Amino acid sequence: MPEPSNHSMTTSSRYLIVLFVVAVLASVAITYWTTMVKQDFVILNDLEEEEDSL
Amino acid sequence: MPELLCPWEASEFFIFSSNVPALIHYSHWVATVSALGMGLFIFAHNPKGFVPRLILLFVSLFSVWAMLDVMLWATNRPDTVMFSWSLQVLIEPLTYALAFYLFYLYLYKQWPSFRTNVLIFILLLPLLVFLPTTLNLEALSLSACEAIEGPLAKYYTYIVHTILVLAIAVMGARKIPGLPTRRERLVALFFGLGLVTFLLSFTSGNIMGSFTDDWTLSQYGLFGMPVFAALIAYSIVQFKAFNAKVIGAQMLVIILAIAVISLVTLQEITSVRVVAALTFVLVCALGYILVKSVKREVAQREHIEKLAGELEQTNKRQEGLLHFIGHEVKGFLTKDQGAFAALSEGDAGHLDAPAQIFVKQALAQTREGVQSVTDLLQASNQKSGTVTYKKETFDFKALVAETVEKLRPSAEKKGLSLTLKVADGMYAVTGDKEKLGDNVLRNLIDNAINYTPQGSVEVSLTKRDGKAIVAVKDTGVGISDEDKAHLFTEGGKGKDSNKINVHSTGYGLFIAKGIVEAHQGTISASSEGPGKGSTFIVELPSVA
Repeated sequence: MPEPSNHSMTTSSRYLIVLFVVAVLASVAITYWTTMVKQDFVILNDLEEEEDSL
Repeated sequence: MPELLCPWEASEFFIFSSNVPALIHYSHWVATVSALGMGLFIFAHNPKGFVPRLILLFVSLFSVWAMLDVMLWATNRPDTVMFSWSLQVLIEPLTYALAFYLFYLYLYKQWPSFRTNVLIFILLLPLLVFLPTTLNLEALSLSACEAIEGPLAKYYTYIVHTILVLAIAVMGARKIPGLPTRRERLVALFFGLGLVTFLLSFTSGNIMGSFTDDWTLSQYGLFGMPVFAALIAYSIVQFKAFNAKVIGAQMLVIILAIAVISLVTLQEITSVRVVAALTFVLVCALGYILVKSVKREVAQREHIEKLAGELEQTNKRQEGLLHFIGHEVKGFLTKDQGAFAALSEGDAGHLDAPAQIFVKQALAQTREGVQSVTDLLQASNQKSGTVTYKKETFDFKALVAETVEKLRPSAEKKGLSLTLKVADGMYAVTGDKEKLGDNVLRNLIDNAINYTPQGSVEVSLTKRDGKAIVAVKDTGVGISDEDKAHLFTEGGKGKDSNKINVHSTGYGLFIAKGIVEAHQGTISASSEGPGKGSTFIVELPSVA
């Protein structure tokens, strides 16, 4: 398979990718905090409705 | 207030519960194993390449997505559902972005420009910012244990997917036709088709799930991954892509084995039909690849055998020609030798002093010529196994002494001392006296004289364990380690041997070895290095 002959990436692109990875990690961490730790989400308790309809 | 949980038991080992249909395990594990297998296979063959690294990252991300999905089906905990679902919403567009980079790097052989990177960053940014908000997941429906998707998950991700798939398709359509060779075009086409097939089936499954709330349908989308793996495997076999030498069909066999064994776990007839149909497709793909490989291998082998036969014929013809030329040249040289000998001995009348010197030189050179041609012919006979040996028992001690005496004049001419030391005893050897004398002993002693500028040549004869041992030791130029490796090989000359002995053909020791071995003996050489002399030892079985 032909391999990339020029792997060089501009410094600004490198910074951008590092920034992106940090942003991904931060976003995942905040999501973990709100869902798993704070349990900050709405639960639609539709179990009874379902039972009623049955 | 009691903790709210979905209406089934807690999952075991995160992935097993009564809520997980067997088909989910089947579709996810087959896809994960085939993806990781392919990624690791390509990576193992070229760990430093950027494309193999990206492929591995791509399939790893996909595998995390697939495992999160199995967890989602198995768990009864709302928090786990919300977190895993959010992660999936993030991973999907990242997989697409990676696929874009992968194909770009593959086609253009360089990273995309800063501008492209910024565009992709901007495209993905809303996902990162709004992932933990209700714009992503609005709520959780407890009865189905499913998240109710917000606009980010329901619309924006699919917009991102569509843009990136279109970008991949456009990139392929623009770049592939311009690739220089047919092979490169086909590999790129298979690679691109595999990627797009996988991404489209992945997205279409998820779109169906998002809009119909029937997530069972979306599982079929995962079968795009084995298709992608199969196309990559085909590229490896057919075009030797990704520098992989081993047949990629091995990978398909593993996937197939998983597919077949998973039939055991299925209880519903409908699921069995689906799996059997997919297994059939895999068998067809694998069969096609295997048959094609075997056919090509057979054709290659037949071609090699044909070439080998032709080569053998050509070698035989060349050897015959060499033999003929050798005999002709030897005949002429022998006649010249006779003529010069007659002139030298005065058969054609008295020659004056300058003419006498000239004739003697010509006679010596003609003898060298005859010897060289004889060596070449003998080496050729030895190789073809047509040398015949006389079998007689003779006094080896006398033969050694006779040979030393024959060569004494040439040693004295160079100012070398030539000595012979013989230990007491009988030295009867059975074999070809002439060949052992001329081609072995004479050769070794002659070499010692030729390659010793000053000092001595010592020939010794001893007996040990029923063997007659001749050692020819000199104080000459010695042998380097490099030269030792091809000392007794055909045409094997020392690196600088022609500087010392211009008539060296490189066949003398090869012939000597052949003759000694034909007498069940051994020949060896030792030297402490250049300038430190050398010792050649011949061991022959002695009958008395």
